[in-house]
Amino acid sequence: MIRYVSQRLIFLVVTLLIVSFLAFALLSVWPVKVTDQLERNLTLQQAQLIEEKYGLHQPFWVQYARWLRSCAALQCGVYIFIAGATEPVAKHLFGECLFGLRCYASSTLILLMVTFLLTWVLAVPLGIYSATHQGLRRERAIAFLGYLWLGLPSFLLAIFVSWFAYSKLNNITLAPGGHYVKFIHLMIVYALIIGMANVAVIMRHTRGSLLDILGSDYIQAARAKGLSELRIVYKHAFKNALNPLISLFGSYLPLLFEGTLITASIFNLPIVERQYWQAFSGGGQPYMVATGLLFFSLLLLTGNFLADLLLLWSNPRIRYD
Amino acid sequence: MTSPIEGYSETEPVTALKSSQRKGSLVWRRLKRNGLGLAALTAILLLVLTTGLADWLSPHRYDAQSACLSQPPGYCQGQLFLFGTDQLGQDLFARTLKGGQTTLFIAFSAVLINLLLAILLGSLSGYLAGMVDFILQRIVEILMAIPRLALLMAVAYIIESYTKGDYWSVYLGIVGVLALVNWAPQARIVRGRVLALREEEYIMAARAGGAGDLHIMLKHILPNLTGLLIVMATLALPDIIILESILSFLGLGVQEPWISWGLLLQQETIPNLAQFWWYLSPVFLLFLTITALSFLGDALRDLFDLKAQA
Repeated sequence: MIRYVSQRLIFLVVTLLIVSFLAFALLSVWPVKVTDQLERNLTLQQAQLIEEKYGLHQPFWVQYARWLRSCAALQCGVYIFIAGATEPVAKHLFGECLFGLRCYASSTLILLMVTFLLTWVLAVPLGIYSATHQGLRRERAIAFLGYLWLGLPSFLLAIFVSWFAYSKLNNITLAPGGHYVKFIHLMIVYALIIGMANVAVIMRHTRGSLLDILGSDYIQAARAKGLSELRIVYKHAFKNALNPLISLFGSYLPLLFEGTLITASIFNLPIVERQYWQAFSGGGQPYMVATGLLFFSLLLLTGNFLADLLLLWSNPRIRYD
Repeated sequence: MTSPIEGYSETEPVTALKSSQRKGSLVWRRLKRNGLGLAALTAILLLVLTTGLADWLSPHRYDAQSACLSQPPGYCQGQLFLFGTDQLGQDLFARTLKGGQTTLFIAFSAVLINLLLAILLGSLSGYLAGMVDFILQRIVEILMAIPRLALLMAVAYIIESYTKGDYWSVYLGIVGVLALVNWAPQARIVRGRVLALREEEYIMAARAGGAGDLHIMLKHILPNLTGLLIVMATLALPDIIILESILSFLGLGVQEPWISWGLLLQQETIPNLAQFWWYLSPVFLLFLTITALSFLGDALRDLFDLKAQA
């Protein structure tokens, strides 16, 4: 057990290192220089000064090592505003996380968690319902709606919802801009937009997995003993139906990230994903992109790691040696 | 493992399946009885046909500007604009069709390359095993450790600056980006299938008969992957279409003077959309395309009896 966990942790760190290398390698073919004079409106002097200070003319490996070291110091390179003001990339990408409320990193985490919970809280009961009421007209309706949702990715849903809110509901704009209170108030709307497409997928998996279990012998035995259907479904079947669902966590996370990224860009949400997108639209800030990739990868790998642990805990039959 | 005979109905004569061709016609016969799948297939064919014939079907060129600015659908100065016009007076019907043509063309080519990569790398990995398998699987794992869309944006940004701005280089750039970023999970599926097939008795028989690796791969393993590949392609298409639309929407994909559904949506701000509802047509067409493709994919998956694999 401890050996397995430490193995996974080592795997996580090694993968992160490789990803960091790949992300940084992207910078060597990056079309816009960090101190691009035209793009950032710098004078030659300013550009040289920044290059000198951050060692931008040094060879690739030295720069990579510098970037890693500055990441360890929570800086992650330099962000250059138009006309030469600079800021650590970490501050621009993650917000002011040590002091003050404007922390993009924590908003990202909260939004991801809310979406995650909401998705599963909606999907699992629906899945249980359609497994236990198989063949009923209502169940078929739910299944069909679920099918339709499958085709509605957050990208389209976000555009449609914002159109609907603006034109049909008194010109409500769903974009909070930098307004944190509004962002938190509307969090559930964003979470629904991001998670909806996945609700259908998870629902179908829940249904399939529960149906598998309900057909097995020990459930028959439980029925023969005269246990109530409620007890059978929730106490005996559901626990075992959970395992395949937990292994679904891993494949579900990338979808969650994609939905968050696109929704953040459409609604201009104050989270890391928007900052990442603005690194492109705002003149291609290379350090921002590399750091963003590293951060998203860290989130994904941590999520997968937690899912593995959960699987280990929920299913004692699995043994990793 | 269900035997291939179990799923077949009474009315159809069960004969031994000798060639993949016969299996293909069987799938077609079963698809004809699956109403939803057939409807989806029809919708897709119609979409491909109308967007493919965009230049002939629409009365205006997609980039021709007229004096009718931001008009609702209908007649304007004696000319018919089916979907209305945009702020530059361009016919939105023509633009929507042309946009669909670009979107679908890019998606089909990307999925094709994507699948070729997945087949090549997946079957190499599964068949050769050993060191090749180990290295390829580590690459796949690392690729899957980076969220796809974020990586896609970065790569598209780089590729975009290297393209010369003519149609084919832009097109190839986007197709390449989409195909490269997406092959990893599919290669893994193919690998799993090949690994399973490798242990089948008829493969051993072929090997005992003196067949070489290449012969076994091409003649014995590949034909058995057909169903899986068709289903994978059908289910990958909606994915790629959405990714391309997102990229174009974010300004990292198709650029003016060309047009795609994502780009059409990008050109409208939300207040604009609210005022001119007909600008939403790409959303509905995208929705229709994606839904039809996933319905068809699911129907095909059932027909090929691939529940356990894909």
